[in-house]
Amino acid sequence: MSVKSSNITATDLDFDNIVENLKTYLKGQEKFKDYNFEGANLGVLIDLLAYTSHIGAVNTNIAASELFLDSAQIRKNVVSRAKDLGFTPASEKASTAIVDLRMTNVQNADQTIPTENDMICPRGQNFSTVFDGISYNFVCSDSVVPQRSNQTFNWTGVNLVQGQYNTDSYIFDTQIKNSKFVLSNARVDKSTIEVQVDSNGTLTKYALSTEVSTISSSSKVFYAQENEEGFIEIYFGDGVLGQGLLDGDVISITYVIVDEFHVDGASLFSMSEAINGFNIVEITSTSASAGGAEKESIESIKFKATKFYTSQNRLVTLNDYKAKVSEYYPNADAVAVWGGEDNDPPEYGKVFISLKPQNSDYLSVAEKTQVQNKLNQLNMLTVRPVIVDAEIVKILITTNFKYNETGTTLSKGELETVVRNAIIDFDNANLNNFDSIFRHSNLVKSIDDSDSAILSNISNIRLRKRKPIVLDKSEGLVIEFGNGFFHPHDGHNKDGGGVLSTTGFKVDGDSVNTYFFDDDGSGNVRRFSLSGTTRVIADQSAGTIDYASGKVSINAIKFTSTVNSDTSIDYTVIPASDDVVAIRGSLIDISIDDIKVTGEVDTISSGESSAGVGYTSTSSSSY
Amino acid sequence: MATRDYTKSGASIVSNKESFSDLDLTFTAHPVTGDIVTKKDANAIRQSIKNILLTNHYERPFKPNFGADLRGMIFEANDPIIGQRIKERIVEEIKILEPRVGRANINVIQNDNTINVNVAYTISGSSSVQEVEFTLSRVR
Repeated sequence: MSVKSSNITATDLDFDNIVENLKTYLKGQEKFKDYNFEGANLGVLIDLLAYTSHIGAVNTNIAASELFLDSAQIRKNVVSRAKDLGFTPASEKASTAIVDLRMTNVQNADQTIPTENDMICPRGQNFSTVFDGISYNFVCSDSVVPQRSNQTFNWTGVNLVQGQYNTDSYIFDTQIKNSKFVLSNARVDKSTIEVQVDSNGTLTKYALSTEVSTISSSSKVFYAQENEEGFIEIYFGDGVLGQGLLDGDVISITYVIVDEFHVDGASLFSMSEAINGFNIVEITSTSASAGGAEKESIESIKFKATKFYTSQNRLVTLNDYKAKVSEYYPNADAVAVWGGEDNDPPEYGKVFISLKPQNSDYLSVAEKTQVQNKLNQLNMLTVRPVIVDAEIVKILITTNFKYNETGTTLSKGELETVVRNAIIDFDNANLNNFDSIFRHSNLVKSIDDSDSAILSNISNIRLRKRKPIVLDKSEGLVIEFGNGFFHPHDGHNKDGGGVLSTTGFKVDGDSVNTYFFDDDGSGNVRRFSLSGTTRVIADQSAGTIDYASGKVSINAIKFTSTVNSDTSIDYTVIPASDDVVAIRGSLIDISIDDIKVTGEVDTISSGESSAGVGYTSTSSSSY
Repeated sequence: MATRDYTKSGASIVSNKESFSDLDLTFTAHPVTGDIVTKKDANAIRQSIKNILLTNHYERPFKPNFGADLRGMIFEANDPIIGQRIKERIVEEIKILEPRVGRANINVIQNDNTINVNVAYTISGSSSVQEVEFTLSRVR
């Protein structure tokens, strides 16, 4: 039944609904009747009206969405909303390395030896490294005065930053209100910006303002923020919050332009230009390049801005630490923070922070110190932040799958590659992060779903943890997996080595035998060597193993060498559960190099087995 | 106020109002009333059929499949098949979009570089035959 109406519904925003509303409205008049026919001119007019109404509604919707941090999609608006909360998004970050330089036999042509000041390694000195066959430029970020010993010069702790230096110059004009000086390059590492103002021949350095509460009218600070085009813009104080500039002051802004590719992990550098005419130099890397990162993403800004706002530049709660650490180290892939009271053993008065960089597993010592120093300025007097390495529990996976030979054109080897890639994809999507859980059934499902020809799979797991040791020093070790070990009964697998196995090592007093650890199924760790395949037990109680909590303790022992080249021992155990959880600063990660995949034709689906006779299956506890 | 009761007097009212009325997109003013001129009945339907046949796909917002898309066919090979396809397309579109048309007879005449289309049709409930005729040719 049609309803005549002289009212028009204005709440609908969809094109079709607007059209219907207009038609309903037109039913209330007698003049035009063809509004219901698509070909009529009135139909064209209705479509046109609906179209403009719809576009208006869409624009209004977008505009309203961009007003709020949660719903904004355009970067400049997200940055602007974050600015309301006092949060400044991180800029691109150049990869940095620390090197020592050494020049020997340095002598001028007139046989004199240059002074230390002659041989300063200046800021902006160019270095280079080759990474994956491509050469990348690094620059020295601070001038370093060498130490001289006769004809030998040593520069220690030279900071190298990947990229190129650039300088922009501007003249301050008081006629222009709220002057902002936009840098001429989009990819700028904000931490490398140096601002120098020439006021009537007097050169003054200005520092980046980070804490407004300490700024007075005479503070020589500048402010930096991202503008609408994504470029960094610099502005100065107004005479109240920071010293204002004078008409005609010349502003020089020097900064590092960040490369498109971050060379993290480079440790071999060469000097591209001579120092005082000398270019034969030995370069030793004390900290390989690390920390390169892209500009903070929109999602990251949305996440951190609110956390930053609640922390208010103080470090009190765990979330405060999380927010600040993410700000100080934008390259962090994952951050875990826990109080000392939750540590094992408890260490009261400390906050433990574990950071995982994006391109590696661990932070360099220099990076740890840098972050820790910054945190120390904000935390409470009685609480000490400690940055610890993430402890990585590797999951070793052995998969045996059955497949229908007639259901695929892929060979056995190709299917094995498909399964292997499915496991790697599962790892990338679900693990490699703090607070993550390895869910065994999800992995099994991913493997089954990786190809339609795969009928079933048996996937067994083991856990492995690498523990670095100090050679020639008697010390005890504790290896915590955070997950219980398989222990069905007392004395389980006593002759076969229990559930624990390790890589080899040698101990003080025996330079011949290579030893290993295992357990006796009754809570004791044994040290043994191999005579052929027979275990020769050297120590029945070399330590203890707690099956319930997943902890291996080794009594004090002096190691002299290890089979692992990085002086470490790998401990491999059989877990009680196939689901593995990461605790505190642990990361769980599937060891890609240790994935073992074996495919086998399913004899029932191929018709070889009848009534299940001759059908074989893999043990769910084999490895 | 006295009112006239048509039912009691047995008087019958025969509507002389037009059945269909549409806007004329020339938007010319009526010389007497000053209102914009409207198209009525057969003229309104003829205009509607022309609109349908001469509208290309993707021309109307949010209605990508509206129209017969005949102009989209003028660069097809000039063979008997294209004439047949044009006929089929016209029948199909009129059937879907113009329910006021009863029967229709379509003639497509292919000249060297143009296609003449003649649609003879009746309006539902009427036996009088109406016609729409147009020529398809490239613009330049």
